Amino acid sequence: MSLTVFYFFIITVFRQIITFPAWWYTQGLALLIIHLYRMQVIQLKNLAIFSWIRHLFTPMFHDYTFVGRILSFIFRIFIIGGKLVILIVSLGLRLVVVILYIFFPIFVIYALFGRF
Amino acid sequence: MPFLVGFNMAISIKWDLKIDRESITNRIAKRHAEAIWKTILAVVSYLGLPLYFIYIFISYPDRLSDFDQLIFTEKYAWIFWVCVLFILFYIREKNKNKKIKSTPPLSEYILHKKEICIDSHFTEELLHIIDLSLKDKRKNYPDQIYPLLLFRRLLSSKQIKILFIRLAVNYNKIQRVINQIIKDFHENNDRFNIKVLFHKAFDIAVRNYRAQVGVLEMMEALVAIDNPVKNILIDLNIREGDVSGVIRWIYESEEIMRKTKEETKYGIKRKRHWRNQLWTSTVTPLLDRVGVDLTHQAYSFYPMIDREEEMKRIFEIIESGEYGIVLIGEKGVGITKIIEGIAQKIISGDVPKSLYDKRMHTLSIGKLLALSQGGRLKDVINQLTYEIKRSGDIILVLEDLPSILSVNTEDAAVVLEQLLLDALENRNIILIGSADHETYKQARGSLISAMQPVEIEEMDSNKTLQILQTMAPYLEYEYGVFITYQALPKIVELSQYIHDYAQPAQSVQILRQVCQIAASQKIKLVSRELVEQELSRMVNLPLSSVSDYESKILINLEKLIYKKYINQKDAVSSIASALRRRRTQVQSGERPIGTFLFLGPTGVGKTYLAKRLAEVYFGSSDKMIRLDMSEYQEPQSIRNLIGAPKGTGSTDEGILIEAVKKNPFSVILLDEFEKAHSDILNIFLQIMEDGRITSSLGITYDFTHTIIIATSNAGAVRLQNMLKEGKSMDEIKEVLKSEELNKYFKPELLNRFDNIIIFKPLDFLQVMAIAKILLDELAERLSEKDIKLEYSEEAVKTLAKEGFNPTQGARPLRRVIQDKIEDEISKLILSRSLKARDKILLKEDLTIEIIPAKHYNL
Repeated sequence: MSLTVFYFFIITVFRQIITFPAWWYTQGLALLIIHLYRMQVIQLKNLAIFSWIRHLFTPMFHDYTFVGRILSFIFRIFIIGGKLVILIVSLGLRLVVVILYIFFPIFVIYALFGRF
Repeated sequence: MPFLVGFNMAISIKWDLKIDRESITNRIAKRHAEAIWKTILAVVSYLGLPLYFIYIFISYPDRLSDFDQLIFTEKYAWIFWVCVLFILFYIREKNKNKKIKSTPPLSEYILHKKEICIDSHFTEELLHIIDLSLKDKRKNYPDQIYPLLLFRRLLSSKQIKILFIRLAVNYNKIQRVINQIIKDFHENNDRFNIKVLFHKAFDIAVRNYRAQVGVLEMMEALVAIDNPVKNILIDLNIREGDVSGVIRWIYESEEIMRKTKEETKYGIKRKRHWRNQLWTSTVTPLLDRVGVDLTHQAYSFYPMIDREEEMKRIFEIIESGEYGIVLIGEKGVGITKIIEGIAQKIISGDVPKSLYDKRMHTLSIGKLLALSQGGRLKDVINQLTYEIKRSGDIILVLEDLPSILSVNTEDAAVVLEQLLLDALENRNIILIGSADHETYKQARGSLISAMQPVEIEEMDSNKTLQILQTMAPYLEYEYGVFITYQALPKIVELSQYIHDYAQPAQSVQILRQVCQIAASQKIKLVSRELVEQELSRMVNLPLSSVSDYESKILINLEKLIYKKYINQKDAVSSIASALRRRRTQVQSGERPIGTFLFLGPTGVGKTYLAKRLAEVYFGSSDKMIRLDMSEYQEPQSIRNLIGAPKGTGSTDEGILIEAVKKNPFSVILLDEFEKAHSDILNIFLQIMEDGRITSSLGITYDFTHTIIIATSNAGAVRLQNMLKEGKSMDEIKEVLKSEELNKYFKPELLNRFDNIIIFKPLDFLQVMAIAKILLDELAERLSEKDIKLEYSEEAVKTLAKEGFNPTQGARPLRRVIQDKIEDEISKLILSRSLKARDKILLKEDLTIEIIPAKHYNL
């Protein structure tokens, strides 16, 4: 029995090593992208940038005075700007994560074998 | 099942897995190897890097700043990278079973297949268990024992363990029993086809829309087809339905857990800021003081179940531009839950545009009144509606709307109504009110008529059970108890005896109460027995053993009644045999336990027999509801009985309904039945026929646990004459039915009675026996004061003579005892001539002699 187990262990390890890249760059990558995409959707919902742009001229907190309108227009511009920055930065970060994911195994292999 | 036709006709089933010895050994070895590999991966992933860093810290404490050197060029740097590689492998191992698209249910998968290999749809866990059990079987076991071997291996699975805990089965005990049975198994002629079992498991998975065949499906198959495991479980009082019920419950709660986890993970269930997303709302300090922001609290609500239809309807109405909605339903149908569900949907953003980014706020009229003490109510209301209007994003929830609109302090209601109506018309507010049917019908006013009604129905037993199953884990956590599967249907079943709320609230409340009791008594398991025991206490009857208890009584009914009842042998035996007949039939359960008409002159023991029956059958004479039908001679008196008709504004439910509500298990005695108005007789006809009645408030009450006894003097003279002529009981009954009773009762009513029972007048000897019983009762009461009562036979004779009256039967007897004996004794006790431990003797002339005991001067 133990010999059979050892035999299958060797086979398992070999199979894992050989099939690893196939999984990492197909299913694994897809799972990562799906996860990031869902996070992105939630973030878009929370930032509500499009709604903010639609309500650009709506005064904040029901301050319908002239000054209130002006102030809130300016303020909304700023906040929309801020939201856009957050959006771009987070998109960028997500992209970086994907790139890191793609190159990391190659890097590890290089680090292990590249110098020998 | 249309599906099965396709299944049988068009698809051929294959079983690819080889089950010869070598294949099994190889598969098991392979799984062991994989398990070892997984363990190595986990250990290296968690420990590798920390150990490497410890090594670095110890070896090169002065070179920590050249980190890159240490991980690239150091002598053992390769260990670091190997560990990193292992982590990558470990990530894969952890995620390899996650699918990009979720696996479709098998029923969908097989739709367009011609051939299917079922073992490829078995889970890894199940395949492993099958292999292990097949390996066990190789030790020369016959096929018939295979289910037991498989079952023994299945027991090691976590899901199966949960299943048996939910079924309140002692896990260790069942394992011991199985081992014993396997050891003692004798070969017999039964045949068992293993493949049939596997096919059944597959079939079950397909029918129940499961994605794969797992251990639970295999367990379901084991109880679905004939085999020793099924028999063992039946002996443990577990049926196929129980197992599949628990499995459905396990899947459903897994689904809810998964959803909740996902919502938490992706940030939907979060606390919300007072300010809405678009910053268009304003602060509402006053509203915050008189109500609660539901959207703010939505993250903490229990999930909403089974109200998707109603929710859809509400959203449709709001989308169509109607901004006012009244949810109409009885107390307890879950209107509050629906409102909370809307709040949850707003938080998740899963709502139509007009609800997007709104705040849901309740308004407590009590707080409003408290706030405006000092006569500023109108100002406060003005301020409040101003705030709401200004904010423009408020969904105002007004629970019990009609009562809010009928507050009559300072015309507050009128002001509030006008202002809210105004806001509604200007679309500054969305109003969601709630009301029950009765108050909604009576409510008048422009606000209510401007709002769209939505009916919320009471939940049926199935849905209520589902609610209980969803609530169970929360309550388990809250009270630190464990709820078994069988407890829940029992709660739903027994909750019909309590009418405080509609379903599902009634059942949830009972479950909560039982959990509370269990927690306070440090009982870990909320079982069916505990539920029965606690509910019996709540409704005052041993529900738990209704059947055992009842059959014992039924067998000994005559004996029990005669303990304190004299003669009327025909009456007693026919009532007993009628009850036995009714109860041993496979009962439809839709009629009262028994319905009897007692005929006979006064004072022969008709009422007393009803009382005895209440004592014997239901345990106490308090369980007798006595209605004097001579009070119900007018058609209007119906309202005293079952409440005023709808729409009259009265919430009085009527004497009969109130009594049965309080005591669903009781004898209902209708004295002088013939005097009731025919409309009222019709009500009883309905009760006797259907075993239920709907009160004027629209609630249905159950009479299936009552015994209805009507007494009547109708035809008493005729009856006595016929008795004197020596006619037989059946003859008398026929004559009375056809010539006397039909003057008062319709034939269908007479036919509804299980039995018409004739009471004979009493003779002197019987009255003497009754006198004895009454004296014994008195002696029993006196013995509580430690006074002993003795009486001579002559005294009984005198008593019977004085208390007997041919026209009134034994009725005067009690009076005589009261006047002549009881009064005398109480005088003696008050004058201290009679003390505890004294003995009294009742003499022939009914005078009392005291035989004093020796008293100590203390």
